[in-house]
Amino acid sequence: MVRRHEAEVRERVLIRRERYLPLPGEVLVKRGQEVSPDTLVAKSEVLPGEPYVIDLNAGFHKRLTPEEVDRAALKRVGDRVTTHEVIARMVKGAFADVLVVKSPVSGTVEFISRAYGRVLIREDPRSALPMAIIPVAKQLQVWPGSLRMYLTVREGAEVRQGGVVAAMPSALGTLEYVYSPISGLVEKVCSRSGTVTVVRPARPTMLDAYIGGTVTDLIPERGAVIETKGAYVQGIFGLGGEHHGLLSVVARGPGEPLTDGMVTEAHAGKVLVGGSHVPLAALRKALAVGAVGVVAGGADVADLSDLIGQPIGVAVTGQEDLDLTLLITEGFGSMPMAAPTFALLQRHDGAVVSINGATQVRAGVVRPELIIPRADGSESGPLAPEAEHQLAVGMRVRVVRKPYFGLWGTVTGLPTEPMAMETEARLKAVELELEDGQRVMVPEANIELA
Amino acid sequence: MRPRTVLAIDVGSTTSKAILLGVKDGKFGLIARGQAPTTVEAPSEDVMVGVRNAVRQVEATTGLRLLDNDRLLTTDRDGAGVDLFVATSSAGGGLQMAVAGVIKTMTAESANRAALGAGAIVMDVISIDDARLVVERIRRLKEFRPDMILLAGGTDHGNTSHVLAVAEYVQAAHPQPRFGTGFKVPVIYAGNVNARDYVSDILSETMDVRMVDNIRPTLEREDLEPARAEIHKLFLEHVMAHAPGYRELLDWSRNTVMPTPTAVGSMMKLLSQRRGRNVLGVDIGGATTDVFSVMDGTFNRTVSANLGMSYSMANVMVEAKPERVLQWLPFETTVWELQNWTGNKMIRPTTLPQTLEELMLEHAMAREALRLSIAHHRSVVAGLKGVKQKRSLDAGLAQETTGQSLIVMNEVGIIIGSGGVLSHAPRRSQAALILIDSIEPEGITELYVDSVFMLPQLGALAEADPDAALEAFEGDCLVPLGTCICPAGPAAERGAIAKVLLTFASGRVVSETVEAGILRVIPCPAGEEVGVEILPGRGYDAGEGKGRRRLGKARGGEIGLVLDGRGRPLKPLGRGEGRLQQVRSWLAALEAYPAEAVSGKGGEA
Repeated sequence: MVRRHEAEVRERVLIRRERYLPLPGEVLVKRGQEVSPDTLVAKSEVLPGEPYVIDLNAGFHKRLTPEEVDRAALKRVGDRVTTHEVIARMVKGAFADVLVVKSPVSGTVEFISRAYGRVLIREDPRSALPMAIIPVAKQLQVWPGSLRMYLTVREGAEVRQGGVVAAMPSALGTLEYVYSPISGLVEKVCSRSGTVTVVRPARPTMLDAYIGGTVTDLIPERGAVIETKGAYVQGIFGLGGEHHGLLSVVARGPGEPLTDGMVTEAHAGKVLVGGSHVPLAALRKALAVGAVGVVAGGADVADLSDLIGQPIGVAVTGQEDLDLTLLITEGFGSMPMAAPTFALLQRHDGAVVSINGATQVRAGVVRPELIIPRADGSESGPLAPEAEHQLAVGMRVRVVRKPYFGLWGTVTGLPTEPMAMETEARLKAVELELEDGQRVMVPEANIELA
Repeated sequence: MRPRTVLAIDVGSTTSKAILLGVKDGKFGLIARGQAPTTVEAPSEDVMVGVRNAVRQVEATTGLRLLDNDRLLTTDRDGAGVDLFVATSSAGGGLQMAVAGVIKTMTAESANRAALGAGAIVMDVISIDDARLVVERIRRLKEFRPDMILLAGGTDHGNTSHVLAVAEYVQAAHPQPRFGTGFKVPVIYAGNVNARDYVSDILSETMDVRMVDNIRPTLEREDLEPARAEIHKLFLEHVMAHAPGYRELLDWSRNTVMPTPTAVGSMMKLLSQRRGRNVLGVDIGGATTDVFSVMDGTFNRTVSANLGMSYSMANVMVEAKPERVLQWLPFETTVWELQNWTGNKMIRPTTLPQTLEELMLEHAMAREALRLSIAHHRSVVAGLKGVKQKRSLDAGLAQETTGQSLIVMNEVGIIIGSGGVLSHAPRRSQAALILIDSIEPEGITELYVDSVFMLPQLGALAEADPDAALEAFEGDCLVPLGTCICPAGPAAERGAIAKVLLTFASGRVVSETVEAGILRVIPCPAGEEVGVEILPGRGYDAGEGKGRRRLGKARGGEIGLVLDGRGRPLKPLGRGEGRLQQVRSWLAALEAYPAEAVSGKGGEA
């Protein structure tokens, strides 16, 4: 059994992509609507809800026993709370002072730790506050003008929820702290009001269509399904996320590398196609001129590590912070692009294409892809999942490991006995006639079907 | 009474492997094997489909009738069926556990060791000092859907509040079971006995709480066995019973389906016990490498995720550094080429080396993957941390830290290598050299490879009939490579570092010199036992102390006796002509590859 050629190339197929928001939001398209890759499909302005831990011990200035936690807590797990609602109350001291602890957010009580006297509230994303004004001077009972003396953060600093923003020695020789109720950036320190403003960076999520096509289905509050008939190229390894642009075949043939000299200002916003190889200099130049994608037969691991600033270890990619998506069709090193792949890309030179570098070798294999939506021609059915096929004499195959890497040939024999290799190992093998007429024996594990 | 025929099956993540064992030529051993894809996942969602397919292959090979209408036959008068059926399983991701303790380097570490030794895949270790926010800990536990949770913390009669806080995290996360519905996820509590009632109060409503003896009754003592036994019991009761099709497999095997790594551990323990020697085993896979050890009867296991020979190949190089990989090659190549080569193996993990140069590259990577995995194992299998030390005046001058590794190489008597790169190495000497270069045995150490990897099935059989399991293991599974004799000490440039007297079974006595930096092989066939007397030079230790005479026994094998004078730890070779000469001389000494490839006249690109 042999796998299909992994760098799969198909003309005229039905391509379907589900576009899905990570948080609930608004769907902006209608069923049947024609979309282009940059059409907004859905958007969400909801801030992700944060879990809040409220320390009752700190609120009551006392280490509570589990029984005291039970008595003080006014809410139970699962209860809903609103901002500034009292969640715990305690009577303390000789004068029976009533102390209360309030919820800093609206949300649901998820957990009450009796051992540690903590309450965990899951913030309701829809009511998440974009900012918090902390009355530091009031909490420390100091003059607002002296606020900066006690701060442990400055404007522009990042603070985490529960992180200390101010500290002051108390009369008892201990320190009193003021904590930030939310994670965010310190926007303002006001010495007149004695407050510190922490702002949660609002990142509205915009979801585009990624591919040009037709909206065939809607997913309420989350997104839509886009379908198109087009051409499809599956690579073997990629970097970077989704991009789209005009396809520009720069190399003159599948064996020609893409050098930095070949990349010009005219390539801004385009997906460039090289032949056998793309070196770091060309990738950097492509980034500098504003190209959105590069497709090539091969690239060097060292160059790609330099590009993303970290070594390439386990092959799980797609999340790199890159303004350019890279798609390799053959493998690492200098490798002429398979002729059918190059020919397909040449036929669609100038078309709008969508490209995604996400790759995962293990556990639910994901390979990088290039989609040419609405490419001319008749339909040939949906993309089939990778399947295994029985080898037969006469089949056209490609070798994917040295010493014949990248060469195409025809199966001329299927020996039943394992064959001796140069390594002295006896392996299940296939006899091939390569395109140059050479007859060779190759381990079955090292070939892919055309 | 010894069973005449045994059918043993190991249900792996991808393949279910059946073996039929019985008496052949007067010896108990392997009769036939069969394998089929595992069918735990959709579309079949019934493990028995794959199991029956594998058994049918055995039927086809032997002509014996083992199944009747999908039912397993027990031996009858016509000779059909088997006397005993045993099974192991790691399918569906094996036994997946979350572990929680109070202090990361103390109770949480002990709990981690207990779970790993019981054959679990430890998904996360939670402790109150793990530098994560409370919510992160709860979220991690919630996301995992572990098969069970091991909760430890506190010494007996000590502080209870911390372990109760950890129990509350578990309660807050309320993880759901991976397989099946309508039952509670089991939590094994192996912490402070005084906190049992409170833990039960916190957890019993939402989880299935089981109490066992404290894993760390005092700071100075670790007791892993009660927790391990409970894990094994729960694995059968919960995980197996709820996994698709396992109910029938449990019926076939009379409730004795073992987690695969536990079965491997049983077999290693049995071997260690019978031979009276400490055992270290390695199994190098495509994505991960498992290391097993039995030191003074205590079994331990670690899994090095992302150190393997295909999916994880590029990661091995990142962790090991390319220069360390390159030093093992008898030819020059660049870091750049090596990186591309490992990248290509990673993205096409199922391909095999066809040229000698590529084979040597794979073997160089295997050395580094194993070296890193052994280092990981040594760091996990360590003495207890945080233990009070009594100091005398002398000891005060040489202060020792707590938490030293318990894997002392000159106390390891047997090394077993397993996994494709070792078991299928075209020459056995390649496997021997990979093991010696990566594990760096000291003193007198026997070397073996597991040729067919039926350790799990034999481990399961060992529970019922240890003698039969050991006979099959030594006869059909273990391939003796020989014995490595190495006095440990600094890597010297030249000169003799030890004298070795070898007394062969025929009475012949041979005197040999272990030369610095040199590997030599003394032929000695499999089955022959040789008396060894090592007289190490000053500064060298053969297992009895520096410069002290060591007496012992060595066993022959396909390679023979390897005298290793390279010192310990092995010195990195650097680059240049000196390196090439050294590596070529070592490879040539063991005839690891064809002479022309090693000499530099062939094999270079």
